Amino acid sequence: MRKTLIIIAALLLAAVTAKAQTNPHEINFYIGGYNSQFLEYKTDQNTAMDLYSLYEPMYNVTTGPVLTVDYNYSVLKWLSVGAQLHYSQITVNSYTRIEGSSNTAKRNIFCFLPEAKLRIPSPAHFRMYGRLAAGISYTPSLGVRFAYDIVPFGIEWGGQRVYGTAEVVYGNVIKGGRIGMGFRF
Amino acid sequence: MKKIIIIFAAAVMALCACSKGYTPDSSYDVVGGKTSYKYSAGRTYMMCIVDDLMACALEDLEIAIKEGKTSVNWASRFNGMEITKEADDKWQLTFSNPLTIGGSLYDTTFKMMAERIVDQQNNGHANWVVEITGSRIEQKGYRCTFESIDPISFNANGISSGWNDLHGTLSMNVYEKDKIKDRCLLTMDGRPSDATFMRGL
Repeated sequence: MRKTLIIIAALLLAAVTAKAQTNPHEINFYIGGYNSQFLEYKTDQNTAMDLYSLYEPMYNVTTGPVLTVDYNYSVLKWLSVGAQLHYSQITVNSYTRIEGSSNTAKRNIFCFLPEAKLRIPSPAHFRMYGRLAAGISYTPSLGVRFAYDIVPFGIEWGGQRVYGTAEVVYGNVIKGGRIGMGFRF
Repeated sequence: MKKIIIIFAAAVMALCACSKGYTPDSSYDVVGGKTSYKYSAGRTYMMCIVDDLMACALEDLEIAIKEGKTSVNWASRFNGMEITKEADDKWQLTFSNPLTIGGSLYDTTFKMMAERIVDQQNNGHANWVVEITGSRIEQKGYRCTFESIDPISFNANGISSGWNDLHGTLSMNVYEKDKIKDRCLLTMDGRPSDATFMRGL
């Protein structure tokens, strides 16, 4: 038991004191997924013949891809911290059956999420990581909302300075995945 | 480096091409001007009052007359409807119960005065002139009142099974949480499919 504790303490100490990478700054550009935050506005076509269904507006939301840029600073070999910025545009089409016509409005969505990126031990040219980010999204007329972004698995491939990246994403900014390019300096 | 850029560019193009979208239903396009709709969900709703309420109540009235009954006490959506003979060829129908109109079941109350103009036609129905006042309480604070502002005539031409020649005007006020939300008119002058719906009056 004592030995186990000593080993765990030694590993933790090694991890905490491990030096950051030689190029501690990284900036990544991504494109991916669709903005999932506002898809809740979508309402299925209602054909019920009652007044509520006739008069209440229904919404269809069309989203474009989400553009993301993030910056991270490597504080430890296995940990980077930073923040990500997202931009996307949604088109909200609202219509009421009684009017038989619809209104369309475009809305820009901006998100700012501080993040922590955790690196998993992996080959030099095929680096794996995970990521947790939480922050806010802002949409004119809809205001500020909580936003989060979880990457359970991501990979970087290529050199140490320039590389490609692809990740699986779950959250209310993007659902699905995104790909991008990164630069380390 | 070159490969990464090419892969990235190809993926960007693929994502843009697959941009997710939903096309709104266009079957409710307005036809016939700003306030007059020949095809709309509102017109369908009011036609349901004419078809599912007035015409079906007339069918039950014809059965009741034939069988000498003063209320609908058989398997019918109008079970409990009271039928009072007011004069020769003139009956008053009163009903207050949940009723299906257009597929939705809500508390419905109406009083209908039906005058038989021509007795049974070839298709088994008489020609009627009907006046109606009623109301319907629906979900989420919505309710409506409806009234014939011109008596509505139901004429059977003896070819089809129902009344296929309608004349008259039905008005409807829509309320949301007891505040008036809309005023609508359905004007019939011939075939049911030619009825005109107006709203926002």
